[in-house]
Amino acid sequence: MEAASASLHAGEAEHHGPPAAHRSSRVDPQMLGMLLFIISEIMVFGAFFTAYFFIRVVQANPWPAAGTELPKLVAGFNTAILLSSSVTLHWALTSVKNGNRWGLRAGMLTTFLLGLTFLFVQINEYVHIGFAPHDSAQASVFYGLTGLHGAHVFIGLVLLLMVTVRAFRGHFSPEAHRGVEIPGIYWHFVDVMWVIVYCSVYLL
Amino acid sequence: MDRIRAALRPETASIRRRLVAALLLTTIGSLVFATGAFADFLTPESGGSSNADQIDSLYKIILYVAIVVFAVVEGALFYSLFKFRAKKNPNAAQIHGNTRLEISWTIGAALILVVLAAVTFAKLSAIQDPPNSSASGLALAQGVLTASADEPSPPNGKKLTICVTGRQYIWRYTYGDGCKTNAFGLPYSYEEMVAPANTTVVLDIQATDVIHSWWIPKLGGKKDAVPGYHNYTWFKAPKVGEVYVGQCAELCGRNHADMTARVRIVSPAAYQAWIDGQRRSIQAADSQVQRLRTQLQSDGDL
Amino acid sequence: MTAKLRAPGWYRAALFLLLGVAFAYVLVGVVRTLMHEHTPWHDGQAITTVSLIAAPLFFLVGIGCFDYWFAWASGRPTRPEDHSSHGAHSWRDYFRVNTDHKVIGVQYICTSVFFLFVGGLIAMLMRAELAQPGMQFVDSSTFNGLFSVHAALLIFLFVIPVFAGIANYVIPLMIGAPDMAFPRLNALSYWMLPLAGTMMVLSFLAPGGAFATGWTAYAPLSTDMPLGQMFFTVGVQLAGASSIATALNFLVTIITMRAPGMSFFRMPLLVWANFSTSLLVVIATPFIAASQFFVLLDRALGFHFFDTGLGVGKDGYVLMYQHVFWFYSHPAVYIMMLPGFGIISEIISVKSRKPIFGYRMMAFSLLAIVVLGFTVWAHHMFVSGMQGWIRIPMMITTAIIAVPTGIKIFSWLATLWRGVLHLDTPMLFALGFLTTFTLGGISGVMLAMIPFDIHVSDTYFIVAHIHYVLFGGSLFTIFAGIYYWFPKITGRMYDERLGKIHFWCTFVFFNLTFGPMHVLGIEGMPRRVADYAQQYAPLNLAISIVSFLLGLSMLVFLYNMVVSWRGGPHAVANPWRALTLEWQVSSPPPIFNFDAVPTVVGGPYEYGVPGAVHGIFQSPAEARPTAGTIATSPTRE
Repeated sequence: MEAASASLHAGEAEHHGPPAAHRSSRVDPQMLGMLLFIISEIMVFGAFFTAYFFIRVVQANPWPAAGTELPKLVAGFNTAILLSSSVTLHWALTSVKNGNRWGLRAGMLTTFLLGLTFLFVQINEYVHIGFAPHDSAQASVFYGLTGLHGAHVFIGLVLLLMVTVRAFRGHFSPEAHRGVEIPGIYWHFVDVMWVIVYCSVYLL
Repeated sequence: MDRIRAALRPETASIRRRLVAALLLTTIGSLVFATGAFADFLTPESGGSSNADQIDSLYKIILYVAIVVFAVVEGALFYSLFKFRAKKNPNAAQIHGNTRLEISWTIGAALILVVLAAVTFAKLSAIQDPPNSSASGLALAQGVLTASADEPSPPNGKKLTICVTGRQYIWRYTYGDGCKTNAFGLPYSYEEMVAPANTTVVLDIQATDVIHSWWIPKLGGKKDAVPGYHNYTWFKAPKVGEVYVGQCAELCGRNHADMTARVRIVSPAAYQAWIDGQRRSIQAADSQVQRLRTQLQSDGDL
Repeated sequence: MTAKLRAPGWYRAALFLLLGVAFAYVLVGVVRTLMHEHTPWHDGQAITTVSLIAAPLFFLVGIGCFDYWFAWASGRPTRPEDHSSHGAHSWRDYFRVNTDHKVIGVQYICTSVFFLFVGGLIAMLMRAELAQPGMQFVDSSTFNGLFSVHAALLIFLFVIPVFAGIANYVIPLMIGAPDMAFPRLNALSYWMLPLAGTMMVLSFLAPGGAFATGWTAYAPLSTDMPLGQMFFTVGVQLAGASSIATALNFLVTIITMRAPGMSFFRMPLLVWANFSTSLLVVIATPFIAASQFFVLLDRALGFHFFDTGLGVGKDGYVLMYQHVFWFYSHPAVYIMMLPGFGIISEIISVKSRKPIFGYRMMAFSLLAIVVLGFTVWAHHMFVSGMQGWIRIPMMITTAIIAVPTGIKIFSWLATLWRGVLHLDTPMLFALGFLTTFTLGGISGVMLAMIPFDIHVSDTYFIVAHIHYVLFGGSLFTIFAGIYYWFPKITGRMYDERLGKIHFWCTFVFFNLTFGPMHVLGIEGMPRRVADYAQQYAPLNLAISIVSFLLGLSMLVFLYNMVVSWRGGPHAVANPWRALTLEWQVSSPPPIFNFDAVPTVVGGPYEYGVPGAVHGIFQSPAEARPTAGTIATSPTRE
């Protein structure tokens, strides 16, 4: 993220710092950092899926627990909402690359609102789903996995909000758009992760 | 710079000799204490049951190999220390590596480990699978077919099952084959288990609250007691009259250290008598309660 | 005053800490009101738990870790090349958010050494209690708290971060970079640490005492413990987050910021070691975070991941905790050992004046350990009653992982062979490490063998093994590293005589303390017990006495460090005549490390090779790989 403003303000003030580091890799440091962070995030989900695996497969508990039902359809619509936010995010990124400022703003705002909608639908689902985490181990896993994902959506939304604010304040340009691109990768990761969560928790 | 040189200058010879002596002493101390011992008295507790004896003999094999490996490493280290210190050896050899040597010690290390793993594997079944009861053991009915694949069973299927239930901070033992499904009315005891000699005893280990671990060192086979699970171990003790002791081996809370266990080995006849006695006192207590209940009911207090 | 409260620093941090607690109070009250709870505003447990999470975050905001990012997020102008928070000009600069990797390295090292002494004092208390059977000084739940805090502090607040600290200081210098890739993230990773440590120590004040479930915090014991457990659960999250952030930073720095000519196979082995460690941290640490999330959810919000009393078809799975926990915590022992391997490689090569033996095999064996480290976790569960078939593959992989470790030991010995050995303090610790770590490794191989493990798991044999690996292994390398880089970091020489006294005391008393514990374990004394059978009494008394001497010998180290830092003789740039880049700049290095980015023209360990050069401070165009006569080239043999 810093990098976006790095290039934005390059040459703005006289530089008193160290000699610029030698670049020993073609990979962008910020990009690499985000990818490594996503590996970490995948492992957090991996641990929660381990819980899912042990309780559903090894323990052979019925899924979902007897007497409960998961709203596949509503969650399916919600999945569509989240996936479409990836499309609008891509639109925003393409726009900024082409110098289309309006497209960037509209794309970011739409993405943010779609993500927010997803979160609200998810919370609404919790309220009406009819079981609580303490009812069974399966319910714990359900709330654990979807809750963990919800937390990631929340973090992603905070990042998107930052980008949106900056987009509306006139930042980013065709040359300097890493500040859109890198939070964007995170958001795509959150989306892909939801597809996996949705398939394994609701569908399978 | 001079001061640094001074700081780096080797100490006087006498100090050095003393230090080396100390180093040698410590290393010998480490050898004696750390990798165990050459003599029998520092090897795992055994003698109560054949699985513990097997563990003991396996330990000795591994220990001998370990001592050899350690001696080789230390030998090379000390030889270098004496031979190649700066004072004696002003020129370093220019060796960046030696592919043949590197490959050979990789294979050598792997071979040692393969041998150890193979020995362990060969011994594993004698440690995991119980033998038949001896003729002098408790007369047992043909056991029912084992319900769980995990449950160890001697070749002829005849075994005595005792359920061991851990809870904060005491062990409870329930005697008899039915203990796994319905412990009600079966003879039981706390802390001290009574077991017949020369008989294959399979322990069905459970817990009611947190994880505990059942372990009587001389009877082999440590096994965790995990809530919601049945874990198994076994022993077959030859010596009548022995009392074996142990302590819970998995941290289970405040009084973990006080959660001790004893196993008293008695002759099969004494075991049968003890079980009958337990059963009678349970029945006596039951009928007493029954009487009290009828009394209270007739009095209208219940 | 308002100005002080607005500017980043301790005043604002204190204010925000209070705000964090207030926030937790309101949040808990509001949520519980919404959930129609009885007495929504008076749940001390819930408020404390939420405070434990919120207050540190607020503190970090207050001290100023997020100022730059907040400015960026709100769209205010920012200057990424703003170096106002960079470097230290007085001791005060070590107590604020600083983006200089050298300052952060010192902060890391000093903080973690502080917790080393706290953890060591706790160990002394434990040994006092264990000197005799029966209870003398503390009650049993306090004792359980003592060994839990001891382990948690020394693992999460000492060994892991002190390596991160040494690497923080040395690695950018070694690879010819002006700083880490993300200096502000680096500062944030540091500041999470003292919070985590403080939290763990403060758990002694919690009602019900400190967390008392060991550092393993096995469920369902940990989900059923007094409030102190939450101090561990949340503290580990902070330490883990710090660890992941640093590791990510190292990886990016090593991959993208190496000096020209520094190919992967010209990197010093310390860089390789930290590269491997960081891979382990990034991949494995999330698992311990998740395991503690499970405990947090179970204990605080009534989830049932591990509860088995719900009825058939609804039960949780107790052993799942151990699988998830050890999937981190086994790689964690390599996280705590690989950087030490790197330090030893540096020191043995420099002090033998001889190239490291089998450089490539050294690097590859590190990577082999990283890969194999993920395949051995269930060897901690041989007696847990998990599916029996898992035990065999785990035994085999555990045995295999000894091969790359063995390769390293043999290569170090071969490096000594026909070298010119200078036996000063860093070298003594390195050689001491070779002995003690070999013992720890051998007992590790013994533990891989299932039947033997069934006998000694959860006994003092394990205590002995882990201390041979983490004390005789990691701590010896840490001491070696601290002595070795002390002149570089402080610009002063330590006292060689005191250093040698420290080594010999430590080495002798260490072996006499932990060696006999093997015997205790083999004879059947379980670990983590406040009281034990009479038969173990003589050996325990002896161990306790020697352990106090071991504790005292640490004071020699402390005295040496403090006094030498304040008034030791000034150090030259390169007292060890080393080739690696950090020794080619002044001691301590200039604020931005290098005036010009150096060019690397050869391997890092060409000691004794005539005309050998690792890096030169010239433009790549002028550099000649065989430049034997260039005046600016580093010192050679």
